[in-house]
Amino acid sequence: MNDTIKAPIVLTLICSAVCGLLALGNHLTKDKIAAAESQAIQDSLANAFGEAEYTTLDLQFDGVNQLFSNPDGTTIFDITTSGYEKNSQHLLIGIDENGEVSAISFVSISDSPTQSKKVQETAFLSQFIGQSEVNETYDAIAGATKSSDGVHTAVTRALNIYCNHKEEILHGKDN
Amino acid sequence: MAKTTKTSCLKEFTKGIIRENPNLVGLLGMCPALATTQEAKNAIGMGLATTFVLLGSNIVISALRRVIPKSVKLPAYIVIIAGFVTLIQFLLHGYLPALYTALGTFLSLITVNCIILGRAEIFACKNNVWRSALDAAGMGIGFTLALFLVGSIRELGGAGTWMGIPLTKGFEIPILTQSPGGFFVLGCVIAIVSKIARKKPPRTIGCQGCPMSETCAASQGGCSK
Repeated sequence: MNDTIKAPIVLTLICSAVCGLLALGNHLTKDKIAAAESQAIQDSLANAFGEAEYTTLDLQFDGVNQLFSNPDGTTIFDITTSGYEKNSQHLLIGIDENGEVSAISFVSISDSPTQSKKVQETAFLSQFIGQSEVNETYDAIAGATKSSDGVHTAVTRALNIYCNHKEEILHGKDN
Repeated sequence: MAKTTKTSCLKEFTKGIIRENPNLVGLLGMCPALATTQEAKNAIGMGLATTFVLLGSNIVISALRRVIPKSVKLPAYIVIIAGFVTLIQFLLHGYLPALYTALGTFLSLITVNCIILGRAEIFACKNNVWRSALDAAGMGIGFTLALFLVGSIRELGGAGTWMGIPLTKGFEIPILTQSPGGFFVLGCVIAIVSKIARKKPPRTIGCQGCPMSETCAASQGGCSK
């Protein structure tokens, strides 16, 4: 067969076969992946905010995956942001009843190991704790600037949503 | 005859472990060798994930070597390799989420690991499935061992632990877990392995050893060598 015709046909067939196999792989592992992600969120909640019965709030905001509340009144924002690569940071940002950031916890981070380690250190995260207003300036970590930006974006997003929709969120908790 | 074949197969398998180790002798795949070797367990995870992709892609490429036209060889190889990388990502995400998170972006980057594309281009597209599988297994094990060795030295020396077990706490040299330490340890290991493998650079490469020999005019007598 002429190579001009054969080449695209072969490449198309290979791409189709790989797509089919990946669809099968996705079908076989999607439940397991969903369970692992759910478990990671539960572990992260327990580590950062203690063992408690967390309620998922029936509210939806742009840029927030889920919203939780715990019995002491803390609202927890489940947020995914981009660090060194797109959507590489999955964080939980807790805002207490006074509207202050009470805790930050990483569900997962897939930036490079060095960058990931640096932005998870208390020395970096502590500057956001106690914040009640959006602060445009913050101390980024040298060598992990984009990863630092990811955390700052998540905190800013959580505070903005909490401040702008406070009544709605508190009402959602009561329900 | 059967004995010769057996010896040849054994050679195909063992060559990648030390003599032609892709990482320590071939100096390929240096990015994951530096970036994922801060801890020995991550190094093993990376090595095994790469071995899986290498084995799968070598087998498929070898099986399809007569079907894939030369003009689409490279995109076809990349699609096959990327397919296996996505598959290992699904598996690690579902079954070993901690390792999946620890390897992060370097898991996706296996797609462009030059060991995998190199073995496909140099070996799998010219040999049968069995020999390609042996080559991939040997190269994969060699790569995993290299990463494990570098990871063990860096973790033990830099963090005082090995596979997470505290062993030399109080005697750590923290720089070993950082980038300069990674280069230093990798350099030392490469030097030792080169001494063992007695690998010397060739005096002359010649047309046969040149990767461009098929297209170069000099190899076809077009101009003086």
